[in-house]
Amino acid sequence: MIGWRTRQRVVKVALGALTLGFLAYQWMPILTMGLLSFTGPDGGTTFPMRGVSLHWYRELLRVQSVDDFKPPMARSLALALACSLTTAVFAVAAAQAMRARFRGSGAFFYLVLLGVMAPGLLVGFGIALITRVLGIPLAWYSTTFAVHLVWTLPFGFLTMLAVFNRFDRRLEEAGLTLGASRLTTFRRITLPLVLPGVIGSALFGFTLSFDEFARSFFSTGSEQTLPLVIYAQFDRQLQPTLYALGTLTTVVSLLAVGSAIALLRGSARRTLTTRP
Amino acid sequence: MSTLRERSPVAYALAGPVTLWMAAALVAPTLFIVWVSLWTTRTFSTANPLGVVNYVRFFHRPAYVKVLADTVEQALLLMAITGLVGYGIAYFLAVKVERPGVRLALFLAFVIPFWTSALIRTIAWIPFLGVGGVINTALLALRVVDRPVEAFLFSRAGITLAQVSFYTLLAAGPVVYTLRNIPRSLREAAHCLKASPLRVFWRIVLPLTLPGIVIGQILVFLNVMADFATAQAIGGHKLAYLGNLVIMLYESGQLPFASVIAVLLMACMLAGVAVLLKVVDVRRLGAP
Amino acid sequence: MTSTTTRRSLLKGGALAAGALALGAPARVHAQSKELNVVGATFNLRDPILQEFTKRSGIAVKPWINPSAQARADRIRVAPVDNLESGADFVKYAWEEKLIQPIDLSRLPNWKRATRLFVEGQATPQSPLGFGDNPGRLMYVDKEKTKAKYVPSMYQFDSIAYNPDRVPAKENVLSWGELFNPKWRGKAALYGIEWLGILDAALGMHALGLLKAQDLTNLTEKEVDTVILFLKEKKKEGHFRAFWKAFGELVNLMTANEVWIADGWWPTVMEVRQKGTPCRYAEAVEGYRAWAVGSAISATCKNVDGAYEWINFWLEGFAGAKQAEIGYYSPVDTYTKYMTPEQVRKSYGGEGRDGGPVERRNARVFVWNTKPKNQEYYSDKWNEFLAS
Repeated sequence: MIGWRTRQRVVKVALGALTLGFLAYQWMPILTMGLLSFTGPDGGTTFPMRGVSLHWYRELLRVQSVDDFKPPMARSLALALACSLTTAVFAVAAAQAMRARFRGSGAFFYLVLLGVMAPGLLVGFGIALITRVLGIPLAWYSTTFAVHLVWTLPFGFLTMLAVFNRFDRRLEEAGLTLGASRLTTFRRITLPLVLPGVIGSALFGFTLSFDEFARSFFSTGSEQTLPLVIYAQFDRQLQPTLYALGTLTTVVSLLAVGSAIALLRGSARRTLTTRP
Repeated sequence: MSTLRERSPVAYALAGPVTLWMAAALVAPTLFIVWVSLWTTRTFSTANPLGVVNYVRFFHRPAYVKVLADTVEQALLLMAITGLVGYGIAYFLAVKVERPGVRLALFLAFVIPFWTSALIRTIAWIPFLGVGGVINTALLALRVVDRPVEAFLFSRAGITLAQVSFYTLLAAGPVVYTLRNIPRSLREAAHCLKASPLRVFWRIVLPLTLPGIVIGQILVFLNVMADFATAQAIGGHKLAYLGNLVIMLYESGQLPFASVIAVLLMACMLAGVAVLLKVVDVRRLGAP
Repeated sequence: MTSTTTRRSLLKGGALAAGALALGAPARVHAQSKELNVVGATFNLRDPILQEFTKRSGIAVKPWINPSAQARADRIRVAPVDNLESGADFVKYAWEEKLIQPIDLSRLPNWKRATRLFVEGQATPQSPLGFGDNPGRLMYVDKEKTKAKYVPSMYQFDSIAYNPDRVPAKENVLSWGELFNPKWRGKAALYGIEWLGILDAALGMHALGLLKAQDLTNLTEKEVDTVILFLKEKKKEGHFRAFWKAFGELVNLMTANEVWIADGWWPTVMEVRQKGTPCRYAEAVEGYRAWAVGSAISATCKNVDGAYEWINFWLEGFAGAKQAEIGYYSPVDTYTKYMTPEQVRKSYGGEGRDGGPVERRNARVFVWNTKPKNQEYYSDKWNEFLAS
């Protein structure tokens, strides 16, 4: 008879292998991209590599005007951050509303999910035509933002539904019976408990908006977002500058996330040690 | 009791802004798409006479119906794969990993690749899966095969591989949340009562995480149905799914017919979600 | 007819109202003359060209760049556009949909120096007109050739691009049928846009004697059926490695040796070679598939003077010389001002270049890129092919 501890360990190892294996599978294209980003000036976006150099990184920083990635990247980042915050707020609001099972909440669910169902290209085209008739100019910070949120919200919404699904109301009840207002209870009890979900929604909002392409197609003005500028490159030779861009994005993300975790750990440790 | 009374007016206030936003930025263009799908001429005109001629065209040709079936089939396949793999990963992250720091780090390790533009990652799949790419070079070096495997790229297999990579996280995420919501004491209690681990999983853990599974499956289903970029780029423009049909028809100046495909796609998605909601109605929140 | 004009005037009215509501209409008008909204792609809206134009004219160009030709034309419906850079096939679409206005050729002095290919549609009186949408014929609005729908600014001839290490070709001459040679199973690529893919297949089948058609660019339904049947067979055999829709995709495929033979044109061959994979551009036995991209003026253009300046700039020679660097031809010979005789010999004279001088190519145009009349049938059958 295998003891339960061994069984537990076997399961842990098996699932761990699956997780790490899948992680490796996720990262291999990224690592391939990273490797190829160092290809020589004659190299292309595929193997064989022709020499090793920092040429494409220099190209990335040097290029100006139409082929420049820097302003579109800044726009996409700003847009993604705005989307991230708005998605989180709206997702929590919508999920909270669902908890009250208001009349029409069943249909409301489908309304939010419509954001993922409607094909992006045509939605963007539709919005562009409608705003044209209304005289609203197209811009990345207005029309594109509106259309991005419509796409990211369902993801955040569904995440919050997963979090609230088996949410223990008794904790809120405890707060309410002890005299806290509904708002205070929400702020100090509910929110901290569902925080992982909120962060998940925010992450969805950021990631999906940063990468969004089909909806942005028509809804941006002449100042385009990063995915559109990258897509435009398909009409010319695809250069490893794209890989340099991708690798830099990954490295910066790792650094940002790493430092955020270190900061959080540091502040947590400090609060622990400063307690009497 | 919760922070919101049943059918409280506050709920409408919370749902209001979202509804307005969706109505303006989404419902309006969607209605536009439905209207365009009923246009009967090729020219772009608001005075186009309306009719179902384009819908007839779709159902008249078995090839289009086959594409619809292929798309649904692909979605089901992905749901199965990502469901299983996603659950395994979620279980590991939520239950088996002890330290929250490690869990967070692993979770972010999964997310960070998605912060690189999908288009760039798609281009990178060629040197990854292509005949001269990383995988094939490794397989040749290890003498597992004697010729590079062509089937990884520009094929249905290639598309599936790429989609599994992109969408498993969607299936795993909600499951992580629902797993975390199960108090440890519940499982320990079952153990104390001499239930085998398999039984504990099957009778307690799985049913409690079912809402998370269903939400994950909804996400994967919708995304695979709508997907066009992966199918086009990694499929080498050799295969047709509803998503890239919309693009293809738009590009050849047939907006009304593209809209028909869009409407049918949306109808399929609605139907699919309705079916999944029958398994677990995830709209009903809170412990019963 | 009336509805589109009413809609257009509604749009114009709405746009004008919005503009007038803004601070100071006169200031707006002045600012508009200093700006030009140009819609194009990365192969023509290139940095050095844009910068030079701004330097000379003082007009700031606001480019909207997109690889989708349909989206470029549709942009006029949803945003202010002054110039539309497009190929003849989508110019035809834009013209039919009243998205562009006729261009007064008398305002373009350099157009007098245009090559005969675009004035008469034939490079020499004996060369074939070529089937399909010949820009030299299609572009003119009237018989006197005083007005045009668009003005070509760059053109090329597509034939077969191949890896000479893998595909043998005697004296660099290949037939379109070579694309379907079973020897290249799994290593061939074709244009993924349905009407061009079918056209290429039709060219190949015609070369192999498998198809007899009046006009390869406008196949009848039965002819399309024959082509699709052939393509389906080839697909089952696994003949095609991939299809490509954009320049970059084709270059990637050939550079990575995923594909040894495809339909291509000189700039793609140039790029593949530059990345280290051998590539040559064959002379097609049956003739070339040609196309010309140019500038049209949008029907909603706010800066008409600027639009003409833009077109004149493209015909002046600087842009032509710059495009020659990446392998494209200019329809007027003004580029000689900006290129050394050696460069001219290399680009136009065919020195060190596959396919010989431009004269050898432009006299052998077989078909032009064309959008067929029964587009819907083409789409339906292509989908059948994709779904098989």
